[in-house]
Amino acid sequence: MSGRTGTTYAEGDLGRLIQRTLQIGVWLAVGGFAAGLAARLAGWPEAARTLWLAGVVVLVLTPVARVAMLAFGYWRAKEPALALAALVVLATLVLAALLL
Amino acid sequence: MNELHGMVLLLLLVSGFGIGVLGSVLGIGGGVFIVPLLVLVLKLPIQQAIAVSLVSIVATSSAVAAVNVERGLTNMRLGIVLEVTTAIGAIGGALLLKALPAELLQTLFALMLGPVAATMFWKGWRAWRRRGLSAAAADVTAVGAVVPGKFDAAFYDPAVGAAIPYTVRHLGPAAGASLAAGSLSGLLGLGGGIIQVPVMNLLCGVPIKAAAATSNFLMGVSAAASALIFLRQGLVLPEVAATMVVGVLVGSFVGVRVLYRIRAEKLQVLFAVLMLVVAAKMLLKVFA
Repeated sequence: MSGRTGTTYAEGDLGRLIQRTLQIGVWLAVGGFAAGLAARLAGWPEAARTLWLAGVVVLVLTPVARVAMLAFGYWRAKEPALALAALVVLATLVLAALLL
Repeated sequence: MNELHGMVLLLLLVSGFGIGVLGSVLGIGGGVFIVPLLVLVLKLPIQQAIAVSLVSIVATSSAVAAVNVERGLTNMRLGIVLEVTTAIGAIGGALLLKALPAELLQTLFALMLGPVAATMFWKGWRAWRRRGLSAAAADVTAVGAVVPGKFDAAFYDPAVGAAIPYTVRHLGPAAGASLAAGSLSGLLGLGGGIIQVPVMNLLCGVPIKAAAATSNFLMGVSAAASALIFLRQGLVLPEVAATMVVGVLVGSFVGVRVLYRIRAEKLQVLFAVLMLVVAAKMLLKVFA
């Protein structure tokens, strides 16, 4: 069941794209945490810390990737207003990451 | 804190699990519990606690949204519009963190929560007592044979065994409220769900389940916006964040199943109680 009445193929497709983006981000982060734990158990604390930090960075960037996918998806679905809203959010996030 | 010892590790995992369950069911990030835990128990400085809290909120949001989008509970259109003001508010909040008196903010926020919680409690309690009433009629005030608008949506609710269509109203004021919710993220390390859920439910007419799911969806952005700033400032403790996130993720996967099956009116009452607890806790902290 899709989230909207009168569902179009594009909306269902976008839902799957967003779902996969979020899942990939979460699993990559978990992979980083697991690798960090393995490094810690192997007696490499610095490597462990780096891997944990990498997992955190991937996790924090996951919503950013999700917003980028929303912009792409709404643009493809010919919903310019929603694509623009997603781009504004993306620009705000990039600003936070790079400038502040 | 360079080493995490057994008991601390267990505490982080277990509390992360509980926060993940609660956050995914109620549409909140759980920052209101994480920050005090890290400050009072682990003795972390408040800014590092907020940074870890924000990372945990991103984890809840991403894990839960992946499931809720698939189930149609998340209103992505509404979410992306509210995200615009939420993200701007989050950055403003993170930058104002040092400039504003935290006690004043917490007092105002707590006082605001009281009447909102009472309204939500009354609405949920009334529906709960009318057992014969369907969740759709109990939870949504603007449903019917209307022409679907751009933000209107529907989802299947297994608790009542029916599709729940709804109409989204008052988007402008809701966007303004999202600005405040985003600011809270950066200022207090909260996800903002404590504002977003009642605003979507009471003001926009979004059923509580869809409101919680959409809140989870968009709080990831506000938390990420603030967390990026904290990451750049080197305030995120990777070992603490990673441990807590693992607990949060496991809890989120459990909680998202509860959200799907719980009755809407129970969720409303539970959320109202949570708001009152948060308000009382903030007032106690300020005046104690």
